Amino acid sequence: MSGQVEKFYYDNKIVKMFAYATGLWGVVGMLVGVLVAFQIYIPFMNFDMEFTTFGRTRPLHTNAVIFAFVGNGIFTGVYYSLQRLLKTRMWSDKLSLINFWGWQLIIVAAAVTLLAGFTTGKEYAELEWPIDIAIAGIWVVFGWNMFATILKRRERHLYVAIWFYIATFVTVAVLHIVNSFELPVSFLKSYSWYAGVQDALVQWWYGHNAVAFFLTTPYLGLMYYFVPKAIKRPIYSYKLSIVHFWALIFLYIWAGPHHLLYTSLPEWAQTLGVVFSVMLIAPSWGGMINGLLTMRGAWDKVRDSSVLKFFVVAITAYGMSTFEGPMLSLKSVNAISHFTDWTIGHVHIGALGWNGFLTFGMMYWLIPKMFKTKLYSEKLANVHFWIGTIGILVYAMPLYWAGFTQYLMWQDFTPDGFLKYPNFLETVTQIIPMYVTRSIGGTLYLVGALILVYNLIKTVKQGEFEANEEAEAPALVKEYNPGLGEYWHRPIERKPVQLLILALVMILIGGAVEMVPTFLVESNVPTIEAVKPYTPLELQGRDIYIKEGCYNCHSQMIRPFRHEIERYGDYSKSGEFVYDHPFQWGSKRTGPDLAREGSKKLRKSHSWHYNHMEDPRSMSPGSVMPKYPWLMEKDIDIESTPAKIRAMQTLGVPYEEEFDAKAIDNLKAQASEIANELKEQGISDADANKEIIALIAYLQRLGTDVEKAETK
Amino acid sequence: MSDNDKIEIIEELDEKLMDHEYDGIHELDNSLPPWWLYMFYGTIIFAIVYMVNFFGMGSYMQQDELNSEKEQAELAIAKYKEKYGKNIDETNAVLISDANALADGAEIYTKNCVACHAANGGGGVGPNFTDNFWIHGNTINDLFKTIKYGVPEKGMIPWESQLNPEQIQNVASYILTEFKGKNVEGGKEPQGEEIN
Repeated sequence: MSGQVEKFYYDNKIVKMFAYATGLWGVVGMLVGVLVAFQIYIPFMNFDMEFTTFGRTRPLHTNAVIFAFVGNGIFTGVYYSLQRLLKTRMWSDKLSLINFWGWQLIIVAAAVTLLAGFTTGKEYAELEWPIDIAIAGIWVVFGWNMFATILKRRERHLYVAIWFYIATFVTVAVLHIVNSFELPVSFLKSYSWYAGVQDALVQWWYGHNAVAFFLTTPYLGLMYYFVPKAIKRPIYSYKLSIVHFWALIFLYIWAGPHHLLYTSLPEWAQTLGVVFSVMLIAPSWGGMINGLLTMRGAWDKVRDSSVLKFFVVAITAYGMSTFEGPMLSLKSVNAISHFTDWTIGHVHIGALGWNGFLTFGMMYWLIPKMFKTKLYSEKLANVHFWIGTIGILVYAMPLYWAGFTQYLMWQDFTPDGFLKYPNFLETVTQIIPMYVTRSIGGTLYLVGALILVYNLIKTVKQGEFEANEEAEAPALVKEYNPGLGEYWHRPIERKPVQLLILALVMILIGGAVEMVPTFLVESNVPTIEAVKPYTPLELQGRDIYIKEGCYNCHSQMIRPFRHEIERYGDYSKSGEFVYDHPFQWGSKRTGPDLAREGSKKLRKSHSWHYNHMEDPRSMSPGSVMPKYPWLMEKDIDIESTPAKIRAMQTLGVPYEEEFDAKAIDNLKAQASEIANELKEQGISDADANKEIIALIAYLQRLGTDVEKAETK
Repeated sequence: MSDNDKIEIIEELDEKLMDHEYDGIHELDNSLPPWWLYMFYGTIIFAIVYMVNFFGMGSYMQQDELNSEKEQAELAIAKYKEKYGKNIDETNAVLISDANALADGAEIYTKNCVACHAANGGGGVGPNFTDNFWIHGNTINDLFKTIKYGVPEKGMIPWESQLNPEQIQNVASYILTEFKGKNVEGGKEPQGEEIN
């Protein structure tokens, strides 16, 4: 009952383009990664330029690696495997090209704007609103092209890889759109629609599921295609594919709050984050098992194939980090790991091991195939494998050590009840040797990637590219009789639209259960009378804080632990953040927490801040913070103030009516007050118009509202 | 698809080969590994127990955990103080002349104070210790108090959470012994009232 055999051509050209982009952006992203790895302990490595300062280069690194390197890796693998698994060419070459060029333009725009300081201040979602819109558009083009291809397929059932591609498409779209809700103030400046606790919940629902649905599910799909192709063995268990696929996408979406344990997020939401993360171990390991056991009976091949070696380490790293993740989600473990380098070590097992190595294996397999030749040098690929593997170890191990060390120092008390290391800086200088080692590990990994590029260029040169690869398959006929005893899951595999809708429903449940009550039930964010909106100058200062990416090293979230209260003051309450669009809790403390920087306990003089921003080492010898001399030179963007106030009013911040008209005068008054005080304190060239004044105003405000309430 | 792309079947492992294939990829109908399944069940049971404890019994509340952490610490500190009699405060602090204690004071000064008061005590962001003018008094008890509670409105932080009473006494003694009346060159202009 099969249809007539048809001849058609696979589009290899688009795959080649994405593969080249993957290599290019991979090297760029890793290079910036190595730069930030050095900057973290050599502050001069920003070359005293604002564009190359850690607060901007670190977001560039994360965005480049996630969206440029892995993003192009996804497209490479999907465009190659999808056509073959469906026995058809991509539906539209035009859409394929729009997908490609659109994505590359987004990457370039991202790089330029991030370095220029245009950022929303939300991790891995830093890009400003016009780029967000472009991402949504290009993502829809990708999904449209993919789905149209699925609909004109010559293969009745969808293979497991495609289930993962579909779940990826629909979930990333939902995550990106919900988290990018922002109110534009100008062409490249916007404020998050959400504030404080709600913003944090949405952001980490997004952030965690960027890991889940951008770094994991599409790559599981690639694993399901490229591993059996490379080792030429059948997939170990079809049943396991089904169970772990549905369990994974359903459970993953709940796990976001584990990034916010012991914060001001309502505890019921934290609890959901804990238990759903723990339940994720098995579904994640389902993927690992199916990958590794597919190699059963062919392990001897691994010895002779660098492609397979890369795959084995990738899948093993996936298993390791998906076990470690749930462990880090236990509150008692998270109390240790959060805000330390442990987290950075953890994500790099995933990024370097799972995503990096799977990509490398795929490239070493794919490029010779499309160029109808053998890999130029299997030996070099082996060298790459070993340098990369050692690089991962040298990268990650010191960070685990650093994380532990720093936590132990943070929480250590003397017998008479004093912090043993009251000066935060001591806990940083202690781990500098680990940072040095890490930067060596990262460099090794980058060298490996450069070897890959060289090897593949040589392979391309010796091969002959076939842009349109001929294939044939019978057309699908309408009538289909599955016969008796069909496996229960088979029907959904031939109904792509239903599969998409079911996946969408699955991922909406967890998000809705966590978000709806957090937004609607008032008791989740108890109001604090004393907490007032920022003054115009402080608001401008806060925007500078966001622009300079201070949140990359400084948290604003004091957890309810004795040692944090002793060090920073009372633990943070959800009501303190109600006017924070966006929230700035941060996720890493390379420097101390700043939530109560202006409070009596921590308050420094204006001149201390002035000197410290000009040269941190003048006030804090041995500090690894970069200098910010341009803050003393650049003028505050005073003209933008009324628009910013109006935007905040739209978002529900209770400034009095028509305050926007008075905002500039208000700002100038406060600025000259601060400048005068600075002059009194011996900073003769303090200038009320400069950005430093606004930043000082903001820092001195932090944590003071609640304090006023207490003294009343 | 060329021949060398074909899957390699190993009879004894692949008894359960299914009859579908995608681009040459076959699948086996192996059942879920039991240890995997039990692990999955185990985590689900953990989740249920954990949620019952939290939602039903009110366990794991952050404020409770903090209270018990503080309680335990207070007990331990009280015991320690009782044992070693370390109860120095601003009313009973004395000017120490012991060389070791002054060396400790010097070390504390270098680490925490020089940024604002300069290595020679001449001041900068903070006031000058070497002239005869003092804003908050110049007895050991005055200094102890100023260091302990700070002058937050002027940017001097309270040090009581960072330095223990003995350390405050040592650094105060060091300041008075080392700087008082030295009138270093280039010091900050006088502040406060003259005390001789």
